[in-house]
This record gives sequence, C-alpha cells and structure tokens, in this order.
Amino acid sequence: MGQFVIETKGLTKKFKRFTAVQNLNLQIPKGALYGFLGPNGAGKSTTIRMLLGLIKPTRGSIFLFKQDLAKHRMEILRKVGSLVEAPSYYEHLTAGENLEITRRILQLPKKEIDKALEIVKLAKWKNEKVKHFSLGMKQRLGIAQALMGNRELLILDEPTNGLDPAGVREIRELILSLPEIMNATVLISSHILNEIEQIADYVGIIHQGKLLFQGTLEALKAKGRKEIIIEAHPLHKVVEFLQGKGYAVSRKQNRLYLSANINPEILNRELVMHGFGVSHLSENLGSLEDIFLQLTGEVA
Amino acid sequence: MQEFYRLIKGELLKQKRSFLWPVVIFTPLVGTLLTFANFCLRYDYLRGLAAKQNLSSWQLLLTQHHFLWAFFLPLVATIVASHVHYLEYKSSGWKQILALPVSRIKVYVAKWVLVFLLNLFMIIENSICLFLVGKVLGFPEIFDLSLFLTYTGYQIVAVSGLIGSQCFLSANLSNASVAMTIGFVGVASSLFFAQSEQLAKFIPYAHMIFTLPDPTINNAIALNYGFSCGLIFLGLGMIFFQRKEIS
Repeated sequence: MGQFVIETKGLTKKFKRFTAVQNLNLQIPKGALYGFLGPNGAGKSTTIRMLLGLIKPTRGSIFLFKQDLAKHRMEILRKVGSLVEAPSYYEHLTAGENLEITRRILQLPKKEIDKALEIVKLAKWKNEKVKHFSLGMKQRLGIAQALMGNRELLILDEPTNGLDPAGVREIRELILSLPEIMNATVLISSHILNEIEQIADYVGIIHQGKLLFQGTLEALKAKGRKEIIIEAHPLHKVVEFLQGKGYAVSRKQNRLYLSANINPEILNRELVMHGFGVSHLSENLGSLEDIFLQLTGEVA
Repeated sequence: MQEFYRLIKGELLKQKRSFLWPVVIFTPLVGTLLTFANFCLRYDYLRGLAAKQNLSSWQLLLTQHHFLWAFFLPLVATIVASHVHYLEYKSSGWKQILALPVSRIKVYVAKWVLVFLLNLFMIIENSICLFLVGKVLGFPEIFDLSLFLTYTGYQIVAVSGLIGSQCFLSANLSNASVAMTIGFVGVASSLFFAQSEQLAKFIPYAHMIFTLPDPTINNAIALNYGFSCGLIFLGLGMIFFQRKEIS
C-alpha cells in the first residue's frame, strides 16, 4: 500500500438534519494530482474545510501525513497550502503586502514573496493594489499564498471558478506545473469534469456527500459502459440473432447498439460465420461524462 | 509570544491605507475642537459656573468635554471593532488565516489588542488635546496632572468592557452591520441605562459615562464592572471563536 498524504476514515459532517458528508474514506497517495469531482453541493468544500480544520467533523477522523489532524493541527498545517473557493485577499493592499501577511505568520524569508509571485506570473504586479486585479490575477494570487513556504500538500478548492476560458487554461497549466516545481501532492476540487480529466491522475467522485469512486483516472475510464456499434445486413435477422444470444440490442436507423462486455473481434467473427454482411463494427468506450453521470445516478 | 507579535504586525499591515486611521486620529481632535469652541464662546459663563460649583478650570474642562466624549469614544470604538473583524468577512480572510498554523485564540486576541491599542491611542490623544486646550485658553490654575491621569486611566479600564463585547459580537456575527447596530443602539441608550447604577453595571456601553473623576459620579462602576466585563467578554469571545465554524 502506498503512502497516503491524506486519509480520512468514516468522515461525516452533519448540519442539523442535513448530512453534507457521509462516511467518507479518502485516500490520496503522495505525489498525486488528485481530482475531487462532484456536482455543486456534493460536499467537496465541506470536506476540504474539514481537512483544513476550518470546521469540525461530526464523526470520523482525518489523517494528514499520517498524523491525526485533531491532535497535530499546527504541525500539519505548516505543510499545507490552500485556496478555499474564492481566493482571500485584502483588496486595499498590494499583492506583495497580501503575501507579506502570510509570510509573517509562516516566518518565511522575504524572498519567498518574490518566488511565489514569480511562479504565478504576478511578479511585475507585486506593488499593485489587488483591487485593480482581474479575477484570474486574484485567483493566481490566492494560489501564490498557498504556495509560499514549500508546502508538501496543496488543497485547491474550485480554483477556476468564475474564470473565462483563457483564465481557466492559465490556472490549469499552472496547476499542472506544480508537482514538478514544488514536489507537492495536489488535491484539486471541481464540478467540471473536463477540468479534472485534464489535470488529475487520481480521481475521487463525491455525490450527495458520498464517495462513489476513488482511484486512478484509467480505472475510472475502465468503469465505463462499453457499447458496440454494428452496421450489418440483413439488419432484422442480425437483431434476432443477437437477441437470441441474450444481448440487449437497440436500433437507431441502420445501426445497432449493443451494451455488453463482449470482445468485438469475436462478435465480428461470429456474425460473419453466420453469413451476415458486416460493413461496420466499432467499440465505444463511453465518455468520462457518461461514466460520471452513470455513477451519480443522473442517467439511467 | 513571537507568533503573537507577528499576528499583531499582520493586523497592523491589514489596516494600511484603511479609513480607520483618519477616524482614530481625527475623532479626539474634533471632540476637543468642539470643547475648545464651547469654551471660547461661553468662557465667562463657564468660569462663573466653575466658581459656583467650586471647580478648577481643568475640572470644568473635563466635565464639559466628558458629555461629548463619553459618546464619541464608544461610537468610534464600535466602528473600530466592527471594521477590524468585518475586513476578514469581506475578504474571506478567516479561512485563509485559520488554515495557517496559528492558534485561533491568538488570532482572536491579536484583533482584540489592535482594537484596544487604537482606543488607547484615542484616549491618550484626547487627554493631550485637552491639555493643549487648557494651555491655549490660559487657565489660571496649574495643570492638574493627577486629575488627567486618573481620567485617562478610568477610560482605559472602562473601554475594555465595550471592546470585549464589540469584538465578541463582531467576530461571531458575519454581518458587520448587526454588530455595529447593536453597538450604536447600546451607546445611544447608555445615558438611559446610566440613570440606574444597578443596570449600568452590566451594560458596557454605559461604563464610559462613569469615568469622570468627580465625587458625584460612582467611578467604581467604570473600574470594577468595566474591567470585569472586559475579562468576561474576552474569555467568552475566545471560547466562541475557538469553536467557530468557518464557512
């Protein structure tokens, strides 16, 4: 078993009668770029707030770097950088002054400010007041705060929220470069599937407070419902043949769709051997979106 | 201690270019300028009043000024406490600071100390300005240092209760205007509360009224209950803030 930087056991959070997070068992390996995916209101931010000690779990335990967060909060947080939802900044202060507050608390050398601003490409805006920044720049400043002091774990909650496509791309490239620059484990949450697909190598899917899947992106893709598309004639005879073999077949125009776990090569051979003329046979592995919707139960 | 000192410096940095500085600097100036104007316009009448009541010019100055200052200071203290905490709500700063390796209690106390220091500054500035008013007006009596030190000291103790309650409210209510409204209503009704010494003991907004060193005023309310309220609210604030859920 690999070394987990984040491990939760039975993590649960209730707000009065509403259960925001239910029995969550996260396992995030060291060095992973972990995508925490779920629709809005799924419990991502609540989980992240618990991981950072901002709210207390109703039940369960949190281990970061194999230490119990409830007992070693200070030691743990020294190694964790975070950006929770919208970035925090004092807009009447400059970018440099904003980072200075974090620098003082973390007791870091002054050069850390320039280093962090350099990474997020805000170095030339160091002395500019944050109120003049675009949303993307504010987001990058938030990430710079999270990066200060060579943190071993970065927790970024919806870092591309509200950004335009160019801003999203900029932040994505920045996040992708972080494990190399910082040698850090990154947990990034998002409700945008495409974003997680492009960034993460590990994925956790949360829905209605429950963790529905956790594993590598490949393992997630492999969970997809395979579909075989066939064009053959005579079509009605092919349907009869396949149904006779117990397969569920659906027909759309002159194509047949087969949802079953069959080797397409064997199926092709079988059809040809039974005298059908096969003009097209392909395998559709199903998009990540399909898998996500399937897991979250939003599609039949 | 190092960590706490760094937090205070951080708090001061957050107030850079803030509107609080002009408010803190100009409030005692405006207050004493109004008292100065009062003395310039009614000096002879006030001198007669002082003679009748057997008050020195310095005592008269404090008495006249106190009616204004006992409301000015609590009002500004309310604004200061609300603003210092509102800044964190406005900038989503709580989640940023409290996700760092700092003690929650120290974060809370650092804010309390900042609010206290700003009030201390106003109280001392007010006393210095009053001294200058007396000098400019050329009071015949020698400067009553003991009276001024007593008045300053009483205010410092009394204001701690008000700061304690306002910091407690501001840190725990995300809507700054609610904390500010409670403060303003409290200050506005302080004279009413002051009518009853029993009631005034437990209302921190009324404690300032009892800080004038005068035999007819029960200074023990300002001293004993101001200090006690300060301690109780500081303790309560720390407990609540420690348990606060940062959403």
